[in-house]
Amino acid sequence: MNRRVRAGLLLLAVLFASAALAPAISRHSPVDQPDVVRLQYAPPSWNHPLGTDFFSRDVLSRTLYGARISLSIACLSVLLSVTVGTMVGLGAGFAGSAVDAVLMRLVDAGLAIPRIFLLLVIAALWPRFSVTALILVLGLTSWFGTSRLVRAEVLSVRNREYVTASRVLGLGSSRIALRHVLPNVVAPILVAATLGVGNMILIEAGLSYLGFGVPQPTASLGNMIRDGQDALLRAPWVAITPGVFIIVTVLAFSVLSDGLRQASDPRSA
Amino acid sequence: MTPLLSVRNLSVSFATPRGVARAVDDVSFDLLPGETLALVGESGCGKTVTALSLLKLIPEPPGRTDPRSRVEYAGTNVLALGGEALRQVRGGQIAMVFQEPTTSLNPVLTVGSQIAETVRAHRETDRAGARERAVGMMRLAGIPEPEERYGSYPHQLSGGLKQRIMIAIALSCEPRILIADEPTTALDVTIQAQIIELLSDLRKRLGLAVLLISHDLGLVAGIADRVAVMYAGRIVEEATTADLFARPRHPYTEGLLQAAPRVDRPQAALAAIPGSVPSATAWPSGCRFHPRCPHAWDRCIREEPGLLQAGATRSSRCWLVVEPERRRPATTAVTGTA
Repeated sequence: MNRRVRAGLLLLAVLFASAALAPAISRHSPVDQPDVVRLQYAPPSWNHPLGTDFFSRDVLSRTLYGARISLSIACLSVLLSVTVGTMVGLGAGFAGSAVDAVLMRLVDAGLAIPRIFLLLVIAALWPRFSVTALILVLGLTSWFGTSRLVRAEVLSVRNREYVTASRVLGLGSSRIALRHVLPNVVAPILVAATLGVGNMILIEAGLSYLGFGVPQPTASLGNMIRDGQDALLRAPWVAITPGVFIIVTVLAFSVLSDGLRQASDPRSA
Repeated sequence: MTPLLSVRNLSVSFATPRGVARAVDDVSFDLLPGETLALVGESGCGKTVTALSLLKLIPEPPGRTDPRSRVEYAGTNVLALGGEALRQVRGGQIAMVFQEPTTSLNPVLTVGSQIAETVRAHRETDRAGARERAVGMMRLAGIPEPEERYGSYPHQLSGGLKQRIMIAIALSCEPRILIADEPTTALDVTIQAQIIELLSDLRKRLGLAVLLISHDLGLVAGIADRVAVMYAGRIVEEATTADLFARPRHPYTEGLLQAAPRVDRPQAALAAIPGSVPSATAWPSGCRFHPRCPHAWDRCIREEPGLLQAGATRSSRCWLVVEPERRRPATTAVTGTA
């Protein structure tokens, strides 16, 4: 394992652990409003290490619980998008000819629509997102690139001799595709997926910031920044804390993805 | 004896930007039970395309197998099969070993699981049974410590061991025919000898019929019962190995034999066949060998001979069979410069 992979994994382990162990780290509930008058925008103190927001809610708690939501959304939607993208890419690359042409034109169409506008249109048509709906929407609008990538890899792998050899041995097509072709295209998928999680966190944050993402009072990193922007000078901790969390998380995913790419590239090994 | 595999009028062409390449043109031959038939010829003569098309492995398009082609195995035309029936013939009845063991094994799966996978594709057996069978096949293929090697990845094994694995995979479902496409070309000479020994040993033990594709005349002389020589997409001569090497009847075969180094003759400059193989998009008129043939006369340019009977068990696609007086004396082949 190279240094970048190790650094990325370590950092992500810390971030994921802090999100998972949120109740143990912070005593406050993320939605409790203990004293809206006296504790509004309270600066960091012993009781509230990262201060409070407009509704006197604890920022540390909200960040950690928000990270839970944001990371879950990002990871699950990437899982969905990579699964769909891989299946489509594998199908197109392996079947070839007409199937390939139809699927890839579909992907072209999908890639031609700017994602954020697509998401805004969907959000406008479907005003209150549940978290599940958000995951579905994010996942199902982001698999186009993956399918392209997978298809390209499959096209190069399917003409390798061991694929012909497995055909000679009488293995069925789906078995060849899933057992002989797929494992040989995993490396680029993994790299893309890792980078995709970081990207998805940003998109979710952007959507929540615009008010189309995770609905209040549930905390997400994006809607916390939106909450904090009204008091950026008076109480900078409200927006900065989730902002820093986003930056560090995305950075960790980038480092990990870069490390994975390097590790899977034989020329740099 | 009834042939096990009977190939009739096999023609395979490829659409290329420079026209239609007729890679294999009207090839017919029989493979008898238990025999080794060698298909020899230089690069590009259609040997490998012939082998691949026997199991419908030519991608279409750009390839195209002529609908009149027939590959008869056990009373059915393999070329007309599809789906499950074709899958059962592949690997279950007719198996194949490729030239390059390194690229023929999947790099991300252990070699043992690749054998077991083939077993399970053809037999009703559980995981443990398939594993047991795989280990048994590895032992049969002369792999030392098969239990330990079962979990090895291809890159951890030498070329010779990998080819043994390929043979173990190919034979794991007891096929009746083994097609070996240049099985030793990628290996060291000492390993080649071991693999050949293994193949002929297994052939005897399992009663296999082997179709050996090769350009290595020494190898062919050693293990083949019969030889079919291919040139420019056609079979030009067919004979028993002894007859072919003792008295070749086609000028191309003569040229091939003179171009091979021999240890039983004093070292001399090797003869070369003048010219080069014509392009598959534009075969010469008449006999396809006439531009390079030392004996060619006007009939050869106009008219292509069929496979003419030149004895009880042999045939040659050459007019010299019917007009032997046309043979020019002392022009065996142009001697190359040393």
